[in-house]
Parts: sequence; structure tokens; C-alpha cells
Amino acid sequence: MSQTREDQRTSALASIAVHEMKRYARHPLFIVGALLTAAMAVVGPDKTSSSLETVIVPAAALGVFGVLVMASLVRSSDEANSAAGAGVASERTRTLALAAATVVPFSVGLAFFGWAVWAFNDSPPLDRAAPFGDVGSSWAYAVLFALGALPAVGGPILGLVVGRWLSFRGSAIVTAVLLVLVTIVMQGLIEPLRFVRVVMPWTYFAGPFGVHGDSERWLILTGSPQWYFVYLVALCTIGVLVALLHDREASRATLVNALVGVGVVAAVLCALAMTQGVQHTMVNPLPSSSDTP
Amino acid sequence: MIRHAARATPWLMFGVTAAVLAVLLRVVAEWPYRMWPLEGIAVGLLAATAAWPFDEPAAAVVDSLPRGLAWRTTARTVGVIALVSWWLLLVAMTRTAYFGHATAVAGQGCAAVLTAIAFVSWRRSRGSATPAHALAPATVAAATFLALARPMDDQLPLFPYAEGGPWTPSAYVWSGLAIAAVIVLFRVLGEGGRSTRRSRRTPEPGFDTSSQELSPSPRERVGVTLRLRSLARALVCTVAVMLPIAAAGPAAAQRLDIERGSVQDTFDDDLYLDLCGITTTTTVTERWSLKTYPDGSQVFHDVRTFRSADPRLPVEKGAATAFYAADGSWRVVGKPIQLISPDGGTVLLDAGWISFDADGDVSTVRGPHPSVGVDLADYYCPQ
Repeated sequence: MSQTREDQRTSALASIAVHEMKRYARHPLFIVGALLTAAMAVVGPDKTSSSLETVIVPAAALGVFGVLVMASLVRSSDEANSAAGAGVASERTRTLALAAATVVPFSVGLAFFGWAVWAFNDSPPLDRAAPFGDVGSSWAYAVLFALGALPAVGGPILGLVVGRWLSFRGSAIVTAVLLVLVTIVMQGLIEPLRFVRVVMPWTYFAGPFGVHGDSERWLILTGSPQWYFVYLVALCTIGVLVALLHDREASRATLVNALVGVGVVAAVLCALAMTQGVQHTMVNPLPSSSDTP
Repeated sequence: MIRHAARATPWLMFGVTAAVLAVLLRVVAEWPYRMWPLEGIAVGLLAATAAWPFDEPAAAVVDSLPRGLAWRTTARTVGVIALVSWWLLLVAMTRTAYFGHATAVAGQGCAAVLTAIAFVSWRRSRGSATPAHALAPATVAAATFLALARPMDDQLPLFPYAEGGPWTPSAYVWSGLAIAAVIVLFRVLGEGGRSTRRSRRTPEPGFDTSSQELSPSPRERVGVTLRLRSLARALVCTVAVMLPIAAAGPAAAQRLDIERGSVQDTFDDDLYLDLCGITTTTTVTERWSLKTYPDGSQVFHDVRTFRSADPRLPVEKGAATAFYAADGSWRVVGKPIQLISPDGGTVLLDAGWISFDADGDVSTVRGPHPSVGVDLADYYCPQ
């Protein structure tokens, strides 16, 4: 009997998840975001930094847009559920189904990552850009995955949390704007914040931040992008758990325990992302105006 | 009308947006070169929020009431005007951050709001009950993408950057959008001001449509009068919102001569020789622009850093705009002097507004200007 109920629950989750994936794939903002990402790939990588600087496009078009898309899907899912009457599907099942729908943007993010790795090798960055010195390709691949592919999951999951917990009108757009605000402030441009910036779900690891006398000089900032992307996976897990916690009809004890456990793991991973890898800001020895190929 | 506006406006969201706008523009004012994308995002957030009050979830009910779409749209504009006023105030308070184009930035917000209202009103008139649900996220998403990725800066200069940005083409784009929005608003609100959804709906059983078409009832005549009055009010509100844009156009057009430059130079610093008797060299890093108007007045914007070779001496930073009037008076707005001790910490900060008459005497001071009338050696020379 219990086995049958479990099977039914799994079956309901699978069918709702497929339904939510289709809805995500048909959402106009997602389609626009995916097209913008594809258009950027068609235009090609940056001549100076190759694909390293293009990660801003999927981060904005799949990640920030994803906050808005998912919040919209949560609202319409709740409306459809209440219109259909009680007992159609529990909130927890629908939340899990919506979380599963992030497969759709993540597949686009993975496609971007594949293109970015290819572009990085096909048209490598100039010597005056990054990476340079002891920093190699694995650093670059981790940056491309963490900043290009993972926002496609992280943004929608943040939208899921917002859709579940914030009920006032416009909460998703305000959240998206605040996300961009704190991300810009913590992206590495402000020197005193550089060491702690990896706390944020998106930040640069290299760029033409400049030095005294050369305002466009390329720098590699502190931190390990390899640990950082594992930390981002932990943040996504926390997001799903927080969204699931909203369901007051289901047992929360297990979720709270899981949340505490993943929270501790995330804190450790964040500390590793801060303290591992490059530990002093590296300045490219070549000036920014150098045309060395 | 006020009661209608009070209930239709999502005040919580307006309050949150007002606070977020203040933070966004404050951050831009602090680091204009680095945080500039937040300016475009603020414009998008303003337009998205302004669209919300025009959603009418109970459209099926209110469309059948005597007060038409024009009256309701006008009523719902009250909160938006308050929000736009807040935007203009914020831009005025941070006007030194916009590379001398504060009017254009204010105009961007006004034009974006007008465009959003026009679109939402048009969708409402076509039967969509909650068009802002789609428009608001799309507006924020578009503004975010355009401000961050800046994919078509030359072709579509919506949010120009720094002194050398395409501000004049941008002013034309926003003015065009605003004019198109006003035309759409007049067409939508003037075509009866009612949702066409109602007219397409099948009449209720027993409702005599033929008699209504042949001779309008007294209630309908009252409705027409109300709509005309509403239209007049809508006109007044629209003009009120359009005024800043009208001001933005001439402000951009009357500029004749603009010079810009950036300097990085090391020189023997006489200031320290005179003040402290110290011989040293100082490196200045500076970006400036000078606008000269036909009447002889000038606007000089300057962001600079003086760093001395002697480690005992402070670093001087400045970010300010000087307005020189044709009569010889001038005023300096911004943060002209910030003196940072070699050990860290600000030891001297001039910020705000200071104006001088034609003889060079201080006439108005707003904000701290401790450097005026003191012995600068106390601040510049090592203790």
C-alpha cells in the first residue's frame, strides 16, 4: 500500500515536472534569453579575452531573466492549482517539479559552456589578457562553468524562492534588480571587497580592472573558481530547500536538518573558494595597450 | 478619484521601488564610471513599477461600469506621478554623477514611464486585464540586459556612458519614444476609453442592444461627459510628465562646443613647496570635459587624483562640476576635494555646493567646505 502511494507520488512528480519543463521552455523571456545567448555565440568571442568576458551574456539572459521566468511560473502554478481545487498536487511536489524545470535553462547554459570552451581554445585570449603566469586552462574552464553555465540554474532557483516566499506584487523584479546591484558592487571593481566577493553568487575572477598608471591593465583576482563553482552548487541546493520549506502542510524537520547541513558545507566551500587558488591579486606584466598577439 | 488611486496603487511595491531607486542612484553617484549599468537598470525598474497600477484584475467587472478606461487610467496615474517626482528628485540630488547629463537621465525615466503607461493602456483597451504582469518583467529584463551587456551601443543608444557617449542620439530616441507614447495614449483613451472586450462580449439575456445603439440612455450621456473630462485630466497629467522631457531636448540642443580629455602627468609640485617647504613630485590622473555655451557660460566636469611621490603626503581626490556663468560668477557642485591621509582615512572633505560671485567671494555654501578660509598647511603638510 505504502509502495503504491510512493509510486503514485513519483509518477505525479514526473508528469508535473515534464509539464513545468515545457512551460519553462515556452516562456517568452526564456526564449529571448536563449536567443540572445545564441546570438552572442554567433557573433563570436571577444578579440582580447576570448570567451572569458562573454559570460555576462548568459548570466544576464539566462540567470537574471530566469529569476523572472521562474517567479512567473510559480505564480501561475499556484493559480492553476487553486483553480483546480484541493488535492491535485501538494505544494512540495509542485516546488520539486519547478526545480526540475531548471533543466531547461541549464541545458542552454551547458551549450554555452561547450561553445565557450571551444572558443577559448580556438581563439585564445591575448597575452595581455587572462589567464597568464601560473594560472592555466583549468582555471579558465572553471570560470566559464561557474559564471556562464551555473547562473542558468541559480537564477531560476532564486526565482523559485522569491515566488514561494515573497507575495507582494513586483517582488521578482525588485529581487532581480537587487541581485544585479549587489553583484555589480561585489564583482571585483572595489578593491576592499575583492577578497570577500566570492560570497556572492556571481563575481569576476579576472578583468581589465587596471592599476595605477594603466587603467585597463588585466588582473587576476584572488580566489579559486574551482571551489567557487562547487560552492554555487551548494547555494542552489540551499535555494531548493528554502523553497520547499514554504510548504506548511508537509513535515519540515528533515528539511531543516538538511538545510543546516548544506549551509555548513556551503560556508566551508565559500571559505575554500576565498582562501584557495590565487591568493594575491596578479597583475599582467604586459600593459593593456600592448598589441602582442 | 483619489480614493480610486489610493486603492489601485500598489503602495508597498512603490515604496520598495522608491527605496531601491535611491540606493541605485546613490551607488551610481559614488562610482559613476564603474557602476553606470545601474543607471539603465534604475530606468527599467521605474518604468516597470509605473506600469503595475494600470493592471485591472477585475476588468470583467469594471469594464461594464460607467467610468471608462480614460477616467480610471487618469486616476491610476496619481501614484505614478508621485513616483516620477521621486525619480526627478533623486536625479537632481545626484546630478553630478551623470557626466553633465542629469537632464537627459531624468528624461530617460520620464520617457520610459510614458512608454510603459501607453503600452499597458493599449493592452487594456484591447481586453487584456493584467498586461503589466508581462510588461514589468520584460522591461526590467530588457533594461538589465541592455545596461549590462550593452550589445548595440551605437545602433540603439538607450543608456549612453560617460562624457563621450552618444547622448544626443539617445535624447532623440527617448524623445521619439515619449512622443509615440503620447500619441498612443491619446488614441487609446480617446477612442471611447472603454475596453473593447466589453463591446465584443455576448449580451446578457434580455439586454436590449438595438435600443441602446439607436438612442443613448441618460446614463450613457453622463458617461460620455465623464470620459471627456477624464481625457482633459489625462492630458494635464501627461503634459506634467512630459515637461522634463521637453526640457531635456533644448538642453541637449543648445550645447555647441565640447572638449574632453584625460591627463596623466608627473610634475614638480609647488603647492607642497609653498605650504610645507617640501620638494616633491606629484602624479595627477584626470578625466575632464568642458562645455562652452553660446552665451559664454561653461560647464567643467573633472574627476582627478593627485598622488605625491613623498609617502608622508596625503592623496587628494576630486570629482566635481563647475558651472561658470556669463556674468563671471561660478559655482562648484560635487566633491571637489577629498584629502586622504597616508595612514588611511579622510582628513578633509569638501562636498555639496559652493558658489562665488564675479569678484571671487563666496556667496553660497551648502554642505561641508572646511577648506574655505583655513590654513591648508594643517591638512596637507605632515604633522
